[in-house]
Amino acid sequence: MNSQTILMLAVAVLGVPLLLVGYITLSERLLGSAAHKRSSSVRAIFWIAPAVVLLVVFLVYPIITTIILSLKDAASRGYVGLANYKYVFTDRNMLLVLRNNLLWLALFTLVTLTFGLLIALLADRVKYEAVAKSIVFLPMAISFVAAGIIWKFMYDFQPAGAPQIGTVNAVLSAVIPGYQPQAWLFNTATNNIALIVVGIWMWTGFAMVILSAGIKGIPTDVLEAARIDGANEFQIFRFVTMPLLAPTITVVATTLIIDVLKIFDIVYVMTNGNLNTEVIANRMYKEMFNYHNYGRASAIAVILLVAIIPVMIMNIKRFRQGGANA
Amino acid sequence: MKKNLAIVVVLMLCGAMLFAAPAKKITVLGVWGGQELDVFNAMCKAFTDKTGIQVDFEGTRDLDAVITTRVEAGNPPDVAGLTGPGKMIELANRGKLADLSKILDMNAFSKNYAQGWKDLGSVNGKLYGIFMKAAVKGLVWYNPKAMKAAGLEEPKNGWTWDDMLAASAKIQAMGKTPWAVGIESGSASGWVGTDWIENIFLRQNGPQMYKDWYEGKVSWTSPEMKKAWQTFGQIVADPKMAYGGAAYINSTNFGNAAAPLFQEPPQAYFHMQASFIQSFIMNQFPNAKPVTDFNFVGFPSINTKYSKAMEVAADLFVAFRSTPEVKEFMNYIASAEAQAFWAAGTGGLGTNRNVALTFYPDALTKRAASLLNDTEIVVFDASDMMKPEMNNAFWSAVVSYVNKPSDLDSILANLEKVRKDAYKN
Repeated sequence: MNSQTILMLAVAVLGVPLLLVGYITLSERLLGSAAHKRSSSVRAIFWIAPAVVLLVVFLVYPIITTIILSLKDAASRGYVGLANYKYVFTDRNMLLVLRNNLLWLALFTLVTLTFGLLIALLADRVKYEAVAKSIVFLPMAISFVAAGIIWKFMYDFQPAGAPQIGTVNAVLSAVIPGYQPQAWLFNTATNNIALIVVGIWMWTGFAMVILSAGIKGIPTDVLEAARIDGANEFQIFRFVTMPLLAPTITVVATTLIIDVLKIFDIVYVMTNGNLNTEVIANRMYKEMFNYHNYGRASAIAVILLVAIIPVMIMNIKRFRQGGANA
Repeated sequence: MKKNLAIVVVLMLCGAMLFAAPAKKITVLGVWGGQELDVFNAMCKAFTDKTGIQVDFEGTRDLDAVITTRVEAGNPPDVAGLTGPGKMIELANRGKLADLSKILDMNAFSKNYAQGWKDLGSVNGKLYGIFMKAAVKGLVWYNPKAMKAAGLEEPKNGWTWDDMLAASAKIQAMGKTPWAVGIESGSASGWVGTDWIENIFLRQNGPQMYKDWYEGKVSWTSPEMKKAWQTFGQIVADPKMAYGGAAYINSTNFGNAAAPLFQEPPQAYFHMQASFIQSFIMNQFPNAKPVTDFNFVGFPSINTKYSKAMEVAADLFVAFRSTPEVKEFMNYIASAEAQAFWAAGTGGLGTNRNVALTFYPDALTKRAASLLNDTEIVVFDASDMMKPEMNNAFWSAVVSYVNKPSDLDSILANLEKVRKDAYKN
């Protein structure tokens, strides 16, 4: 570590908190000398100002710049109108990218949610619940890149007859007689699914933990009342658990949708978008860092942002409702 | 009280840094890791010992993205080691690079370097890049012992594509596959296939059309282009020709791709790769000896008019600033002394003529080095010379072609669309 890095670390770790403490102390002093009546509303402005400034600098300003860049050419010299957006929605490769994201959106979200719910419900009924949930949750602790590399080994392909070092092909050829090893990542029929499986493997734990907490939050007297009224377990699930769990399911689903729209690392590590596996974020990365087409990269970023906004709004609404209920 | 203590700590840290700052240093950004990084460090240590200038190295596998980010942020390194001239041309055109003719001893440079290297390192008549650690591309590797055991003749330099097909047919008649091919390479998957197509295209159409091609002047849908792909397809589109078929070719990393030649019994007999694959083979099979256990011949000639042409690739150094420290470093990089480190440590071929053949670790690397020194027509790896989006599309297109050769027409049409888009200005 060189001296510059140490200096920057010192400034970040010590300087930033000092600055904020200093700011608040100073503003309190000022307020103390001001008239007592108005101090509370002025105080609110003082306290919120740093957050607003940070938001404007790091969020609002980049968004506006990105939108402006998306209307310019590759080198950001002249305006090209909506040409970049036209490219995104008409180019054959781009349409493939959008199709793949829809595939991820549907499969990843549905399967992760279903598995998460199933495991949460089943684990709720066994003694070794903690162990079972820990195991399912473990992949969450791995970075996407590491997961991609692990699964690259899992999907490894060797020609029939050679020893299979990939777990998937090794297991399948041991179980099924006459099985022909598959190159899961290099077959256009299976590669997208193979990538989505990695995402599901990682995120099922997340869905399970939140849903499990939701299930624990359902009051037992409601369930007991249903049982006394003669409902069977499936009816309890359908007519009691599900409706009470609905807000939690929505929160998990929206989080998963936001995640899946941003999916990048798994594809980058495992196929780099070859053989029709490219997704929006990979395409944006390539346009930006490999091709230096700032216009197209920004247009893709804006589209991604617009796609996420409704989901965000839904999420915020849910949070507000949750706050009101609590 | 606590706050005061924190302030004292910050002040002390700042003070310590003012005194500890080294007098002279340069920062270098590059892709090297492992053995190559050891060689780079050894080369820099000799430089620091001589000049007192410290070299701070930062390594990344995603060099393009990191350089782009740092240049845009106004925080480029002093010097960067690039893997091909494409990025150099782009940076030079944007005015981000230092003109080396102003900081190098140009008399010595012109004496020590072939004109070809000077041309490749120049943009609009100004010198921006110094090449080092070159590799000869398109060599065909084989295992002499395995070929002898199978009663096969070793290929000879000057062999033709038809000779190669005949030799392959003989191997097929024994119930074996002749070729081992593997093109997986992370985010650059497919580049091995682009080497194949480039070597074929060069030998079918000559260096001038080859140059036109990487400059974006040749249509991907032209009959010449289609023929080069189909010639490549004679190897990779035929599961009887390449071990393991399409699935294996696409999923096998280029670094392990020569392995079938050394298995017992051998699964394949020929492998096309640049001179650098020698270090991969020796890492994977430590007992394999150059010349006796593995050897190479040149790429089979197709049109005899162009049989003397040779494709090369090399890493190169560019400078973003022309400080006195950078000047010293770049002059050192251009010297035979610095390049000898790469020759001895990695078998990377020197571009400076004065790198003595004695530096090369074995007879096989010496042969590659003299091959490079004696070649009449040197051309650079075409895909590395293309615009990045063209290069990327070319890599991916090879992966798609290997996966489904019958899609060739639509693959080429797509490449043509990328070309029209990328080279429109």
